[in-house]
Amino acid sequence: MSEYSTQPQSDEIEISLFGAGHAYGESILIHTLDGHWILIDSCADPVTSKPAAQAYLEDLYQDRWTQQIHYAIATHWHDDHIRGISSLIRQSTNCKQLVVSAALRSEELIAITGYDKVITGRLGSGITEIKNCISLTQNGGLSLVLAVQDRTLIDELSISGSIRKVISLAPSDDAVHEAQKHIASIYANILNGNSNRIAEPSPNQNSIVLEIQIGDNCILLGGDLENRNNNKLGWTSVLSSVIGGKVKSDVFKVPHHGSENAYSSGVWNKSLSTQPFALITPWRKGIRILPNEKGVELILNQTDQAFITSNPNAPVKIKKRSNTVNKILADFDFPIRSLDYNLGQIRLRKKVTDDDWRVELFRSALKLSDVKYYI
Amino acid sequence: METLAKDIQESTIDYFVPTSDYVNVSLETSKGYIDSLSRGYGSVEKSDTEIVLLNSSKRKSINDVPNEFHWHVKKPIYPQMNQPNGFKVEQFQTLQKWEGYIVAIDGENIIVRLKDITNGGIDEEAEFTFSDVSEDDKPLIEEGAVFYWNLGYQITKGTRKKASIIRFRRLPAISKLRHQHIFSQAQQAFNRINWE
Repeated sequence: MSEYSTQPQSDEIEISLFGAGHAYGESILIHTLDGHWILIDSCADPVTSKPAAQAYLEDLYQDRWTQQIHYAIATHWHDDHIRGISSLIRQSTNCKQLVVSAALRSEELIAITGYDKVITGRLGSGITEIKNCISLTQNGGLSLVLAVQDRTLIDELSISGSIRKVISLAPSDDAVHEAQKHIASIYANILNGNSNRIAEPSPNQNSIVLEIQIGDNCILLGGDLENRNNNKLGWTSVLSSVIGGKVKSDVFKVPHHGSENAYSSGVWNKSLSTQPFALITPWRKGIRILPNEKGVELILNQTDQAFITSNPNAPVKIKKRSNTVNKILADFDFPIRSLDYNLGQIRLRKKVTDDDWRVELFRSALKLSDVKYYI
Repeated sequence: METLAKDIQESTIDYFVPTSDYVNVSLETSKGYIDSLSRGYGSVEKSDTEIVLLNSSKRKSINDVPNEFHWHVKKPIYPQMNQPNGFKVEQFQTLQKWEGYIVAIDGENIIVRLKDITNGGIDEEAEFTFSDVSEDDKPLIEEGAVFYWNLGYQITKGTRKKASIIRFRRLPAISKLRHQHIFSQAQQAFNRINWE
């Protein structure tokens, strides 16, 4: 068995961030001691549909991987954060709770899933994942736990007596209200005949932010939350948390792929320890790439220990096709590029009582300082 | 095919409200809709569980199906790109087919994500401009809009010419009854969920 496939020991914490290039999203697995894992979001291979988290747990546990995930959390319902999450939950025999934003307690949202075949066609979308999760609540005994600011979602003791606690620091009440209005408007559009694909049924402002405590260790997961010019929304709201931020976090999943608009100096100064580990996944939509050069600079000004699952500037590849098709594409001047499933993994491990984390980078993962931008 | 023909004859048209720009559809069952594909091929969805493809491996076009279909199914009209005026397209030989959707609109540029229907595999991304889209389809350009893109040869009077056809998806309006049914089911599902 390779070192990659070695399970964490029962008294060892692990944080694994998976990033699937810049087109297929991100997923996080956290070992919270004793063989208990928490799944946060999901990304999946576009060809095999196998979630990255499943492939990894299979490597570690073989057939017993289905017993490892005890809680699942969907930070928000964007395509790049939930592909394969229903499949993971369905196969995980010990996972009976899915944490979702409180905004999803909406009849309109469930009604939207009734149109998923019309809306998505063969392209698939997060709507299908929501529909599948709703189905698990009807037949599979799955409960939906609603996350809202300052709610303790998990609070239990590990076998060795270490605390295992998960708190949601976002979404705020205002963000939930705003997201529910957004969902209602999508539903109204459908009733009015709009059958376009829906990729983002709830906005980034509705993303869950999590503080995870394991023993004396604290981890901050930023989801996709961005800043807003409103104290009751975005990162300003998170900083006003009543129960979070008591312990500074050593590890930070940087929000929204390191975008400038998700950067909050207040969070870096107040919620994180000195030189925290910053973990990032890249993203791209057309010519817009995250993180951009400015975003990288902001993060590297705060910590030297920043890592990204793959290079956001990785060269674009072109799919092999017949010469005839290539000639027609050239004649019509259609630039077309492959969206590679470029899976990278950042893995941090430490014994719960140790001081130092051990960082391992797999596949395309690299240090953020090694990312180069070319004009 | 016989089963479908029988069902179509027995169905009513009471529930169907065709949109003004979707003249090709007159088929209706209480749950059904037609998602027509290129050049007169189409798929008929009868319900959530049963789909009959007219463009299946048998390559039945709407022109080939029994007469009783014609009573309800008219040949679609499709916008064509890069088609010289005055030429009648007699045949289109598809070499490459994608289904895609618009992910972003940036000025004149349209960024799209593509699923390769011909070869499968990973997704792709491309950029169009508004001028690549036919006048008929331009009003449909917005984020999330689904389209079909065919590359191949147009064969007109024996002359073969390279061609690209981008056609945005049009779906007939969903009946009020269907909307009500979906919302009723959603309410039932909502009430059965164990919210914590």
